[in-house]
Amino acid sequence: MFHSILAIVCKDLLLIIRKPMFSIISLLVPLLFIIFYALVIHTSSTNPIVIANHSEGPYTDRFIDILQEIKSVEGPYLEIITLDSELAFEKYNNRQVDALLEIPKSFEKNLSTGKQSALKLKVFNINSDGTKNYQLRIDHALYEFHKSLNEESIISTNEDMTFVQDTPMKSYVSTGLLIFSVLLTSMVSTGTLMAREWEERTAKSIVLTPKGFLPLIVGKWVTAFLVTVVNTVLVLPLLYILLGYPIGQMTTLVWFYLLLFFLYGSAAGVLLGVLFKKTLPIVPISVVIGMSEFLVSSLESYIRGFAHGGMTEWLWRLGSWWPSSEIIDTIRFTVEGFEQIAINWGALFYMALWVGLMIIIALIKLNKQLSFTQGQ
Amino acid sequence: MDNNKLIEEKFVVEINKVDLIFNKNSKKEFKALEKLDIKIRNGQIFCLLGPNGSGKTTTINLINGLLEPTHGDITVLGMKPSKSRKTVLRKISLVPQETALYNDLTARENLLFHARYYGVNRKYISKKVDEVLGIVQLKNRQNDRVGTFSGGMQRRLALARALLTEPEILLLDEPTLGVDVQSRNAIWEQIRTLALEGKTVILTTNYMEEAEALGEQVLIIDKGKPVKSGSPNELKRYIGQKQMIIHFTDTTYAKQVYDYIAKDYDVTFKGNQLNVNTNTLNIQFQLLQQLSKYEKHMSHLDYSEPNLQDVFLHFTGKELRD
Repeated sequence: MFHSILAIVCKDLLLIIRKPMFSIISLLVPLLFIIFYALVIHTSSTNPIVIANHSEGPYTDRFIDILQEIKSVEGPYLEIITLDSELAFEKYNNRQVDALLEIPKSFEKNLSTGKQSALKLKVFNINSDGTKNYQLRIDHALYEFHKSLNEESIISTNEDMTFVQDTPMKSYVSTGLLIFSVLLTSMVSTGTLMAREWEERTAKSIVLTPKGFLPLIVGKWVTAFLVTVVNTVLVLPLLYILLGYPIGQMTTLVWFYLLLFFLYGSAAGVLLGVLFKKTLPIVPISVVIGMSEFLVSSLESYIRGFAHGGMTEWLWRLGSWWPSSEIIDTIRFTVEGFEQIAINWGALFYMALWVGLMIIIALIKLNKQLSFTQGQ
Repeated sequence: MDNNKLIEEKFVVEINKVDLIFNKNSKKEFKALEKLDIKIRNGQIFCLLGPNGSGKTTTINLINGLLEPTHGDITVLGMKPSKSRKTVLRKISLVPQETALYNDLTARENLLFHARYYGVNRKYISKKVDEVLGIVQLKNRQNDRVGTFSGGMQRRLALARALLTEPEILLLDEPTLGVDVQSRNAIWEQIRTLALEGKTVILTTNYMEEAEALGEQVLIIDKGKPVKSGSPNELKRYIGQKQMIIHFTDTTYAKQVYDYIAKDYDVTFKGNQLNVNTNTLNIQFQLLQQLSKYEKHMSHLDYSEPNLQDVFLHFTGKELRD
């Protein structure tokens, strides 16, 4: 059995070296994704804003100071591009910035006489998550402002936080990207390795040996595992360099979770391989599955921002029930070193059950496809 | 000596009244094989001859245990392939229709992989690979990728792969499909040599000349049913007799002779020729003596006997197959 598995691994690695296209694709897609996200997150995490200030005086100055000083774990709350009213409107109207805060001329006079004053927040609402982001930050700035004046808050916000602590957005997305990379590589590798046996019509000659199909599947998984390890080793430094992913805090448990995702991806790969029996469709389908997994379970809170009824609401609800969602969050909290996060046995069992089911289905399907009942 | 003879006479493959039905008791029910009876002796070249979709490969899949009969029994070397699959697979080797080689590996790498996967003793793998490459005369191309090989070379390499495991029974599914005459002759020669060495060869084909050249025993199979079996000569004898074809200088003489001999011989009249069924030399001699007075009106004589194609078409008909 061992020698048969070794024979499959050596043969497949040799074929990968001679025909590396699919391995390169499975590495390039996550790498490009990471670079893309690194650019997007860099711009969105600073929350650029323009202020159209029509007011003058100490209250106004103090409020602007607070807007400039308030910070979160990700950095400054707001990156104020300009305070010039005319330039602010020009930039906002040209969509060079997503939010504009207008301080009315009456702001200073109203505050100095103890009257209420209204600010105007204009947001280019590309998604509700971004809108909420600006609203909350301005709310917090107002809160700080009123506190410094010993006044009661005019605007109050009630938030129901699912988690006790925010995960930095870069880390949040990085974990999703890491899972995407592991899933995609394992799916593409196992799927194409399996499909090649049909494409080259070699599966039958392997099955018709006394060794049967078990060494074939184990050999494919071992090869796919080696390819996934290589890809992960290349992806992790990029995540660290571009998104500051805390690689050092990846515990044994995190690696175990990644192994589960590898098994999940490779079982899906076997299914794709035996269903299509052709290598070409496996790559785009794997990308679609990987992206769906990334969007539904890895970016669950992002989707929640869109979820106000209709299909998106259902998608979000599906995401929160999807077996991998909770495991991905657990990985996030573990690498962030949140003390309150222990092993989530329920989620682990659920995920293990899901992976086990996928493997069983893949093996049944493979066994059935290896019957070769027909001649030509 | 008697014991050896006894072993030689043993059937290595026995298929008794086998039916194979796919999707039984459903709307898609399909009878792939019906009342199949085959007995193959040790060291015999047995040929399954049939049109496309006749059930040849299905029969091969029964022998190698990929399929199990719905009714009837099948034994290979005294074992039921579906129950003792691993043991049976240790003693048989299949060369499938599609050769099943890795195009991006060299000939040698293909053989090394198969030998390792199969579990050939690691000490002898290299020697064994050299040996089989020599048998199929591909030693000089052993380090070339299979993708650069012609169809004939690929089939020879597939045969070499089957020989790696020293099988007692070789299953060859359409072994010369799409190869040139030279490669076909080389493969036939290798098959004959293997049979002489005592290996039992079971091959499927839809080439008449292949069945005639190789098959010691031929089974014509059509639409999943065995139609006729026997040696090529037996089959030919079954459908027709040898014919003497007498050509006359004029139709009038042909008609005259026809009237003269029709009561004594099985004869047909076609234009200026007569076709007379003559099974033995004696009959031919007797007829020629009778016709000596017409000698000056006879232009020439031909002899014909049915070939395997006639036999095949006689039993399977001329309708086109899928």
